[in-house]
Amino acid sequence: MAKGKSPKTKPLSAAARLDEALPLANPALLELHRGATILEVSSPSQLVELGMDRAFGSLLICRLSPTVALVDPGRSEEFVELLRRRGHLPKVV
Amino acid sequence: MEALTHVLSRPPIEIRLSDTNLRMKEVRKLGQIWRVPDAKNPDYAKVTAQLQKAFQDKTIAQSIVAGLSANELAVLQAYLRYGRGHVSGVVMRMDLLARGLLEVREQRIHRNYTVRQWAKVPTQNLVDRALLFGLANASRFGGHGYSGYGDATEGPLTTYAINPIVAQCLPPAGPPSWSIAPEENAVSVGKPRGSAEFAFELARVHAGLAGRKSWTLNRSGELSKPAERALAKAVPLGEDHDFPLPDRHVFYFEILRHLNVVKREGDQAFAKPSVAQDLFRRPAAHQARLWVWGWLRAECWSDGYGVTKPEMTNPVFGDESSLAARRQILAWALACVAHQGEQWFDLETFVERLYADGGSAVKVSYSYVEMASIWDPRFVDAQTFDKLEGEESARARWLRTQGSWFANAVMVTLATLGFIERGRVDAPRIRHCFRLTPLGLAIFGAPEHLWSSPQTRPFLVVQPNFDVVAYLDQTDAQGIGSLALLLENAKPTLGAVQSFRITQQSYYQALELGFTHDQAVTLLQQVSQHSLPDNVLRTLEDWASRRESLVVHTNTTLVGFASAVERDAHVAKFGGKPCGDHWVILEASQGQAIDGFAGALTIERYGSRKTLEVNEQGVLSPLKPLDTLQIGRLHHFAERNDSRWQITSVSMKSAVQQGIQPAIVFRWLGEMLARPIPPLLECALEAWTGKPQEAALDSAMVLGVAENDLFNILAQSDVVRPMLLGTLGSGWFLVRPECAKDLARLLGAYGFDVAKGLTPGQLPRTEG
Repeated sequence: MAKGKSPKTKPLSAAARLDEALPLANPALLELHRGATILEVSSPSQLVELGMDRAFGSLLICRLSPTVALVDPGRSEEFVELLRRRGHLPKVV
Repeated sequence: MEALTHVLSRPPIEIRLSDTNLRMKEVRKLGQIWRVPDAKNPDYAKVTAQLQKAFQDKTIAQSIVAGLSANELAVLQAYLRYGRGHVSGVVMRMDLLARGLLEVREQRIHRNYTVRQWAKVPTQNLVDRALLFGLANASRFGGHGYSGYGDATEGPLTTYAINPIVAQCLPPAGPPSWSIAPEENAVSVGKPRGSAEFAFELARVHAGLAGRKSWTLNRSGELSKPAERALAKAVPLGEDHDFPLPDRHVFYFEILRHLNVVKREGDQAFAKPSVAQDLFRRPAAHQARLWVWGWLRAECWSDGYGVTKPEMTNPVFGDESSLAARRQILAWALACVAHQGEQWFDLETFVERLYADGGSAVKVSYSYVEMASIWDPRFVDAQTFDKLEGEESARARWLRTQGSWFANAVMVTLATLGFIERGRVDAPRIRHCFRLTPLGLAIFGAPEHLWSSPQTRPFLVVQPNFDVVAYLDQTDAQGIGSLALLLENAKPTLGAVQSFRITQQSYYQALELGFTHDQAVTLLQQVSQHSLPDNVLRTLEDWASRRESLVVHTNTTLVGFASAVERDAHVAKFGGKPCGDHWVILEASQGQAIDGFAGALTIERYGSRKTLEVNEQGVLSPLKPLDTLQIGRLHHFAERNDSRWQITSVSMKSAVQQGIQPAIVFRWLGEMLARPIPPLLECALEAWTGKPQEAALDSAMVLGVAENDLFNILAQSDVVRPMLLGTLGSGWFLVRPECAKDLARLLGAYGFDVAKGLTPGQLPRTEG
């Protein structure tokens, strides 16, 4: 499936663009992630905003739910720092 | 009203006979003194164990103490005054001299040489009876006075600690009678700093430290220069240009370090916010007592000089550096004059007394940092040192160097800490004076001076534009440190009235460092002179809720199930927080639940599953089922057709457009691939992400000449050269197509056997 927009196709909806940028993760087998970093937001629109932000392109891997995303392992500090630089106020726990 | 411990008190030590290296003969003798039942037992361990037990027997201790002379009792009580930890030998020398418990015996050898020794060492008998214990490593210079060259009485005594049981038998001594004539005509030159001012600055520096993960130290332990500059930029502090504190941020850092608010690990330092909050909540006098503790131990910063390399690797006095020894002497002297009350003292007179009475720890210079102080007290005699001779010249030189160090310690460092009020006498000449502030009297006059917390009032005014005015003279150090987290100071000043701002960044940092929104608002309301403006309250609440709406959970454990049914069954049995339809977030305590996942695909924080291969066409082949992380990453830079993933130019360009750096793609591939990327694909990835590789392809007429000499001859020939376009490397010419036949005829005429067809060299072997 080719990425990007073909000039002859209709513009994608926000949901579709989010799916493209940050797909929903449905594991096929049992998975155990240790030491994972996840981002939890209070509303799906916040995740849309971050998912569509190029600056977070490689830091957010996929969505686990409409309001939870998986952060690229080993880069949580980079992610938090970037959130702060972009004017967000993340709570880190 | 509260009595504090003496400013030089150290924590009590545990006496362990195994650390003292006593010989069997000494142990037996002690055993007899301390009435050990089986003192003559040849079993060393047994006797020392019994002796150790006897040291805790108050009755035995009292009987031993009762057999001491009056002088020896007075010495013990003098040691007791400084607590039950080790007492500096430089301090005890001055203390026992002041109490008349040390006597100097002079022996004139000839006109220019007099030997001075202690007439009798009052500590020897006490050590022999295990009422005093020395350090494991004795001082190079300390001791009971050695018969030898020069003045043995100038050096410090050995550092001792008192046997803890003695504290139950005797009361400590009162202050020694060391004093300075007061200065009657001094006037104050400005309002002294209150405890709130220093506490506030200290807390702000801590907040600055906590704003970064770690700070780099030099190998010798002091804050590195880049770290110091970064800290100064993050936490601007007001400067006193008349009495400058050198490298002030390092000074605050050192205080915090010795209060355990900053932890060192190798060449990195880390702030400890929870320890800091506990410190800032303590009463002002307790905090001030700790500030002195930190100052006495700050080896990486010297008064009047600034950042310095610690000299603890080469202690000069027992376990103390010369810097620590001088500070102890100064603290002892201030503790003495504290009992003269709220008197002014002439600075030069005070410093000269230290020279006269302080011994080698004061007189001798051990480090260059003592030789140059930032603030010049302009002692009169120091200005004329080159016109004097002998002892007078030595004293004048000392006033100019080490004497200035003491002056800086009093008038700059301790004034910054809020213990000293600066004064002056203007006639007949300007002379600097000082007196102890009420806080200074409480700290240095302990335990006799009692401390009572001054009445405090709300001291903040929070304005609707988020500007904050703090009247620091209306409060003290207790609790104010916590407030420093909430406020930002863009234009620092000194003085009791200072201006700050509540900013989103400062409020956010306070919440990150452990404040809750309710705690922050409550604190602001408690210390504010008026109600907080409504808009300020609303904005603070907004900032707090924004933070709560974006939470990064680090170091969690996630479990993904193939179906929601399986997930729900797990949650019902083992608990956990459901997330979406397939996931569960486990608490750290749910280890038991993790044990049931032996067959799960396991993804560790720093270890990905290397279960993919890729060929030169970019087609990825999984060796084992893909996991969520792998699929998520591939989605960012590869195309998916049915179940097949492929890296293509389109997918890579799309990745770059979405903000995926090429280096990240390479990193991900490195973490997922079981074998290295084929080199051709690696070149392609670079080309697709903006670094195209150059190549050329065309049909050509080529002349091959195997022999190198012949090749060079043809290349330089005036006849042949015009027919050539260039060379393809050694042995190969590129021939002008229109000259090919002529060149063949020419070479044939010269006797060349020009064969048709080429014999190219072999391609290099493939690797792997």
